[in-house]
Amino acid sequence: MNAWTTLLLQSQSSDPKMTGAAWIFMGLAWLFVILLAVWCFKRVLGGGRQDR
Amino acid sequence: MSETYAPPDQRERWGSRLGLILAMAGNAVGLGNFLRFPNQAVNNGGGSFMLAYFISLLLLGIPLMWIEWGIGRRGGALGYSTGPGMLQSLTRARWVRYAGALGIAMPLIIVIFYVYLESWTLGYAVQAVTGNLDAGASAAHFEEYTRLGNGGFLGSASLQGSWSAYGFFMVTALVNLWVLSRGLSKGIEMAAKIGMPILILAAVGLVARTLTLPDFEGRSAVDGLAIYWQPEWRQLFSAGAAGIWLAAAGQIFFTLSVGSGAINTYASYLTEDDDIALTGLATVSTNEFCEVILGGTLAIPAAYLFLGTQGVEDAASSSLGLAFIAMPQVFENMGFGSGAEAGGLAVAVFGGLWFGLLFLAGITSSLALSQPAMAWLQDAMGLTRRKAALVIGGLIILCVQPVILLPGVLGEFDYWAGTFGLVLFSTLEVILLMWVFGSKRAWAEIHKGADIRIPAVFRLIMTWITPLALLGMLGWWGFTQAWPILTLEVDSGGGAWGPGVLESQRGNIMLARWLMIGIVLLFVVLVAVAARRGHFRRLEEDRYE
Repeated sequence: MNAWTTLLLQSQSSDPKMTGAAWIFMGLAWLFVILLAVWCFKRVLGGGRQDR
Repeated sequence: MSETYAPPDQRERWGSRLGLILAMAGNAVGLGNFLRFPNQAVNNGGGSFMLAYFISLLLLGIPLMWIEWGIGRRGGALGYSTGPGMLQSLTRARWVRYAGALGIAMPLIIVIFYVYLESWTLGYAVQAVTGNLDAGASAAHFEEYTRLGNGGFLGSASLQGSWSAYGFFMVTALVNLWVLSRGLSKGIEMAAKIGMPILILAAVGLVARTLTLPDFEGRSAVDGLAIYWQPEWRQLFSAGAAGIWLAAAGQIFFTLSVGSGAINTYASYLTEDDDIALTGLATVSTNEFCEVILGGTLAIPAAYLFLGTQGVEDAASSSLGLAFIAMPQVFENMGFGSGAEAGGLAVAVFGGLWFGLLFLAGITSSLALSQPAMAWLQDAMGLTRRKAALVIGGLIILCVQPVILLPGVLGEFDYWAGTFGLVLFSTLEVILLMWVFGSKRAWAEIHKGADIRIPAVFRLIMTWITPLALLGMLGWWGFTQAWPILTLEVDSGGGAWGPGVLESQRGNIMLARWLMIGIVLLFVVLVAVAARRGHFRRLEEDRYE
């Protein structure tokens, strides 16, 4: 475990909490991943070329 | 001299585009998504790691995906499914065909130990469902199950557990070979079409259960997510953050399976005008969904809920410990009631789902890693599919023996082929395609038949940033780690050896290194043999220009 993780865990003591920043970061990351997947598969499945 | 390559019009093809995406995603989604990712995130600064991870995805992962799909499809159009022919098609320099042998040897070395790890998940899934997984004593259970090389199998201290592990390995290897022998469309594609939806459903079910678990001793599973979603920009750009960036970039390589040669081979079964821009991106998006959303919401929040911060620290110190020791303890508490009976049922249901999904993730990856060697034996050596599968099976079963029986061999295989090798081969690919072949031609190659137009900024990234980042990683490794690791001054993680470990494992590690060199040389010699038999003649006739 590197120094940053030790610091992180110390700063959270034994009780990490989802802060507003954490919710926003996770929300944006999840949104990016989900929107990318939906956009790709919508185009793949709607492209009419899926069966050769 | 006879030509032994398969002409493009006689090559195997994917049955459907969706099947191709699922097979490619199956290649990418593996044990790394559910085990290595949380382990790396927690051990490298949590939120800082996640920021570096997404930047690495954009600058390394997605560009390398397109580069490998492009090299693979171009190789396939010329009748080549593996590294030697594909790299040779990018330049006249003959040494690259021998360097291309890495694209066959490395995935084979990875699959040798990967199938063994995969067999643990099958063994544990069966034990969980049949009530034979001792969740309360999971550490002792794991030690007994895997002690083959530590006195169990050889020293007969615990034959029952050892033989069980050995038996599950043989079953796993035979299932892999059976699927491979059925061919591309009826074997690999079918396995992905069945396995991937089940895997995703099982993971979604486990995530749903994890996030709806009641609080335990004042802790909630949702708060466990804070361990790696608390953004820490300042840490990321401070002195000493190189380790975080390297860990994030390494995870991107591992999770997308770039640099192993497997993507190239899968892409070679496309036709020249099949889209790769959108299909490649769809594969990335599927992998990231499975990793960031499913893999990131499973093990760590559940471990935090029931084991606390110290439990997460202990569990995340080893990805195998997280999967096989911490998670069974967690599952015991995930039931819908209390008491031993509810706990046993929970281990059977959730343990079966967890280890079952790991097995499916593993097998779709090991099939992909085996395919370059399969394709080489068929295309260049003229073997039938069944004979090629038998040769690959024989090699895996032979070479896995030291992995199973001798401590230290697995780690050495993992480091050189599964970590260092991926960066090395990727660097070779990106330089050959973007600089030797030329970025303008490469860009046109990737856009042949494309359903989307890739933003032009990615051409800049693929030409400059991706190769520079890769060379930077190799340079940093060469400057700081190469010599101490080669001379065994430190272990492959760059840390000090544990007490007595080096003394007891030195011989095993050297054997592992010679074995890997032997496998690479075997394929280099086979490339030379194939060249003499006219395998590369098509490229030498300049028709590929």
